[in-house]
Amino acid sequence: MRVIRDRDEARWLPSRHHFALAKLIAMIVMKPAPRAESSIKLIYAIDRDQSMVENYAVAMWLYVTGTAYLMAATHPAAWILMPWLGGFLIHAPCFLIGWIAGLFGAEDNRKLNGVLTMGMMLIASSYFATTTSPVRFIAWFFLGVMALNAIAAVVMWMLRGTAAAMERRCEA
Amino acid sequence: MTRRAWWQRFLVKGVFWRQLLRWAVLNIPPWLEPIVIAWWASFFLLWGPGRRGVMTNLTAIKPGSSSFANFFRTYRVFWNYAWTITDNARYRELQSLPDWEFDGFENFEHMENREGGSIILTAHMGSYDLGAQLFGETSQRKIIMVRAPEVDPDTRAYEQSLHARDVERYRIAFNESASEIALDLLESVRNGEVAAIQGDRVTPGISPYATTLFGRPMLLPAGPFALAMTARVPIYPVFVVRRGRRRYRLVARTPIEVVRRGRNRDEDIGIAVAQWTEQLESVISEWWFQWFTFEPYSEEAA
Repeated sequence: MRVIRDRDEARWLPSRHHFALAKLIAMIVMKPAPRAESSIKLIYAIDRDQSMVENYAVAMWLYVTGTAYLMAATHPAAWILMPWLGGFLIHAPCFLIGWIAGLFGAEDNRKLNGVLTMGMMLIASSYFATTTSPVRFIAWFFLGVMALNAIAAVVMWMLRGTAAAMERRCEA
Repeated sequence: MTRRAWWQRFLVKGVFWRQLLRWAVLNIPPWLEPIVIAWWASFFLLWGPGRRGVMTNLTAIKPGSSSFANFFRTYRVFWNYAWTITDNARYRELQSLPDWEFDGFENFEHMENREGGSIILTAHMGSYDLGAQLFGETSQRKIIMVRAPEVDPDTRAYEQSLHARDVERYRIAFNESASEIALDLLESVRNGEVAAIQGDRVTPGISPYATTLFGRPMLLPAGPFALAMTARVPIYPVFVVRRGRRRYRLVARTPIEVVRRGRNRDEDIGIAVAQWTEQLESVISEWWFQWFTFEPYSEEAA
């Protein structure tokens, strides 16, 4: 794994982010800074899942969206359980998918589970967006973020040279 | 030999949870981890002895704190513990490093540049394993991690099989027999190696030293101090604390010299132990939510 030492700006490198929208935001936020002269030494790992802000934001967004869908699909008497149960049900399919993939010899199934989780959320959002209940706003928000991410992916592809230059500057 | 009941693997210290963690690291998308960890940390609050142990310790660390507040503080301890063991499992399985900050780097450099071996004394905080792995990769010296063996035999076998993979980077010595490990460590330290020892709990068979922590009686291992005195090497208090998601701080404090001043060896060890408990108290006060001691620390001594 690549690491960058004593460059605080490296925390915003696009390559430390997973989704295109997060990469684009990081690229806008990142500002050139001189090498840190501090008593605290820093090592930044270059990994696409390293960003705390991105990962917490995505997790909270999926949790709120998923729990809202579960509440919309169940009787109001069960709502009190949903904040806790929702936390389990959102990641429960990963157990099943991982187990099935394991039967075919696959060990690292993070990508498969990621694609399928987002796929299921997309299907659920498409359904709830067509309903008349208030949950449709959450569904439209989900679909809107997905669309923005797709646009960001195109922009990031066009800016790939700039992103690579940022990497080189930090590594220098 | 009696066969173990099948359900024992599901006990809180059973091997099932270690295997599930490894499986989760390889199957859960990283952006779902905060949900997964928040949920499983709340699930493990059902573990009564562990929850009560942390809450009892919190009453000493935070005098006058209420049980209601300490319940939520205990959740924070479990949450941090879950992140820590996940980061450790992720490093083992995927070689994913977290971000690192070094505080007190001059002490770390001092240890690295001095002639002869040394002793790292640490606590059950943050990621002890991850810290040793980082040390193994950044230091020229060989490190020996001393740790208590797992209580559950299946878990012990599982952990030992995992550590066998890391043998190139660092060595692990399980402190099952005090006399054997003492000689082994003495030889290693005299050969210029670094022994990393957890200095905040005593396991059966290890000689204790009675002291106090946050005003309550506590037993600490006497071994690291006796080893430092015999080998004439300093003790470096080092703590690995979690700063956030995939971000750790390695705190290296000023070394403790264990010097033989007179005939009373215990008295000389006592001076060093007092310095260590002072460091321990200051670090635990600041990072109480990362002190992973799930048994009441003062019960035995009391």
